[in-house]
Amino acid sequence: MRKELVAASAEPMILALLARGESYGYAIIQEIGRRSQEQIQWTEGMLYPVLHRLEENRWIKARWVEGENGRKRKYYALTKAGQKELAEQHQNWLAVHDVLSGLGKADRIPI
Amino acid sequence: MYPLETRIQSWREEMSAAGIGPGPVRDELESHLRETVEELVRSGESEPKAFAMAMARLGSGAQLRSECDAAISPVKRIWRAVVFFPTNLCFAAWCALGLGAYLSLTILRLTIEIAGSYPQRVLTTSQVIVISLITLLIGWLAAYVIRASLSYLRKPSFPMARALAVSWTVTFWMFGTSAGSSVFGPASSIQPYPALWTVLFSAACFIVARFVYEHWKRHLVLAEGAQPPAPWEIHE
Repeated sequence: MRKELVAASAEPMILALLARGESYGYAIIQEIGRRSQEQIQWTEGMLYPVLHRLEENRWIKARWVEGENGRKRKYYALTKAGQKELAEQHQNWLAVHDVLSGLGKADRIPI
Repeated sequence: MYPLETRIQSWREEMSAAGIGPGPVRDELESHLRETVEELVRSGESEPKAFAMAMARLGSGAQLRSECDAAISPVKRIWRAVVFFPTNLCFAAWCALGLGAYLSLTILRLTIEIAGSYPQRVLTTSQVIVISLITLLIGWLAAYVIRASLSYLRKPSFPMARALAVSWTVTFWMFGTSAGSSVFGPASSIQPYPALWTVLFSAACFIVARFVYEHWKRHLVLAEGAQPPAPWEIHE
């Protein structure tokens, strides 16, 4: 998958994932990998800057949680502004998806 | 027993050297690193291999740093570079001083020459360039010494103390040609060539510092595939 596409699609996917409940970096990468049948493999170097940017925009908020084994994890959760943003981005992606699926698969396009 | 904590400690230092210092970002990456190691160990990997794989997945400090940098605005990036590396500011100041020396000396020379109050040239162009370059060189050395001293204060150690002793001695030496003349001969033979001696002294300083560093590097125990830190990144 192209770098630009990964970068562009990361935001709505993270927002949508967090809309289902709070989560942390490691789990987000695992979950996206699992849901895409390992087709989308995010790297930490790509994920954390996006998370921090979303946090700066106040679409998500973070808190440190200490687990039972003393391990600290930074959990992210969606904010009100984040929900609005997600709705908007979701709409945009649906529009792209509709056009692409309406045009059909590449092997069916007559030359 | 695999020294995981020691390995993580050196990973932290590598991150600090790359500009990801102590703070929430490094804590978060460390938490991620530990999580990945645990997961790999659970799936049957040995601890050393799991750690190496987790490190490779996470990427090097420089890589992470450039990826983090790409996400923030250029103004913030420059600000961060100055805040994280105060010696950058020091270095920039010395560069400006070198340039300033060049410009002001050139202006002074031209003014005097145009006024015609001096029959011969006050300073030749090559002299002006040499003086400016020396200012730059001293600046670079000063930045290095200040940075090394700061990291020594944070974490004292024998090799660092030795390197500092050498660099401070030579720095003080460089500033006084009279000190140099007492070693290299009568003042009269030194006075016409202060620039030459200064260059020689600083070159000697760099060679000695390099020698100390190479010696120290040979006794270093590194994680698999890790690069030894550069002289200015040494904290222990």
